[in-house]
Amino acid sequence: MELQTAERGELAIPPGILVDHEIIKAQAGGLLEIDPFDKEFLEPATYDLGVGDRAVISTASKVLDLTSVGYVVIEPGAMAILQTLESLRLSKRIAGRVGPKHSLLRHGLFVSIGPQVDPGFHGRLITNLINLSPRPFAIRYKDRILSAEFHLLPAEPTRSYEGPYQDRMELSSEEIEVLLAYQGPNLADLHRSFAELRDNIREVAALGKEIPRLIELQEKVLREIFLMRGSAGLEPSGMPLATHISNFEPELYDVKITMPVIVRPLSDGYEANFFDANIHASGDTEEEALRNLKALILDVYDSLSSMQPGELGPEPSRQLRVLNRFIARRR
Amino acid sequence: MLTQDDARRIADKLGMHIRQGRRHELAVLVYNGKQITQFGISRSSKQQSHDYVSKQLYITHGQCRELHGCPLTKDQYLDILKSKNLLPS
Repeated sequence: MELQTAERGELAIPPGILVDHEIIKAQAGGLLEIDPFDKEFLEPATYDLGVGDRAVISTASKVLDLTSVGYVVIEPGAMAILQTLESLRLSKRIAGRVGPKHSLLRHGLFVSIGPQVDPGFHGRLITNLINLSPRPFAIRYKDRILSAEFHLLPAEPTRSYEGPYQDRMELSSEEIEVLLAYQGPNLADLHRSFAELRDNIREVAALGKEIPRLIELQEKVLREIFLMRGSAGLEPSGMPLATHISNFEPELYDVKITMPVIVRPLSDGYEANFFDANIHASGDTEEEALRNLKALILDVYDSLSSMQPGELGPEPSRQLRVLNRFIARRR
Repeated sequence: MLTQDDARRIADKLGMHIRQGRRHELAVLVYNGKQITQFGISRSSKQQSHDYVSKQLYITHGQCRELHGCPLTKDQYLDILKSKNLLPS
């Protein structure tokens, strides 16, 4: 449609922001064209622009046709590029100002647009939507997303819009490539990753509370296996066994704290270790190694505790301190 | 494998005192009037592994083998303990 320049007097519209009936009048007078035009989209001093048929979203790998899929879901952190349903044709006497519909902002969507549409522009507007909310947001074909003001200028500017977006009716291949060709993580990916990380941390924290109980259970099971294998005369498993000494019966010594012991298989027997005091013994069976270790612990304890403090070097002094923590001679 | 015979050889070489224990002979190393370390030597008639002796002497298996196999002297062994601050000052 060829727009004609209207004189202010013919249209009887004063310069300034066009109100609803002036927008209709400006269209009739050839100052402005909104195509398609729907009176339902007309507001007191603005016209709402809807979502067009094509959309590109960072979480999809293709251009979406909203007339067939109906809607597009913008996940938290994801970005969508949308084109408006309407094409605008502004005469040299009309300038537009475009902003997001407040409803989108209330839902936590960041809308990137304009704000200026220059006199002489023709084409569809392109806008970016980024979902900054923690919830997915669905947007449908023809949903109102932008609100456009139209200003009747007091005079024609010396030149009108002649930029790269003139007469453009579709998303450019460059805009599509920007989103579809990008292989790195986007905000939506990061959002998902953090959500997974949060869930994992919660699970680990929950498991952490169970660790003492699990360790106790493991020790109990290992002790049972050790005793069962011994009583059944079975071959050793080949794995080190964590056990403990809880008494020295029939010797007249008390165990103040259960003594942790490791019994491990060798090529031709077993070695029992009380690492805390660096005392070790061996035997043909696990039971014998443990019996020998218990006997040796008492031998070392008797030997060290019979000495004067000044007669012990650094390591025997430490060993005696450790043994005194675990053992007491019964009186 | 280090046997109780090897352990006895080490005890002899280091001049360790032997005390009788319940199931073991307790080999005790004394230096400058102070007890430095000790290990148990099984009295079992069967040769058993005494590989743990290296742990109680605070040296590696290799050094322990050298100790009973002659290359490592008592003085060299004491130097090792000195380097680990295990000898009284």
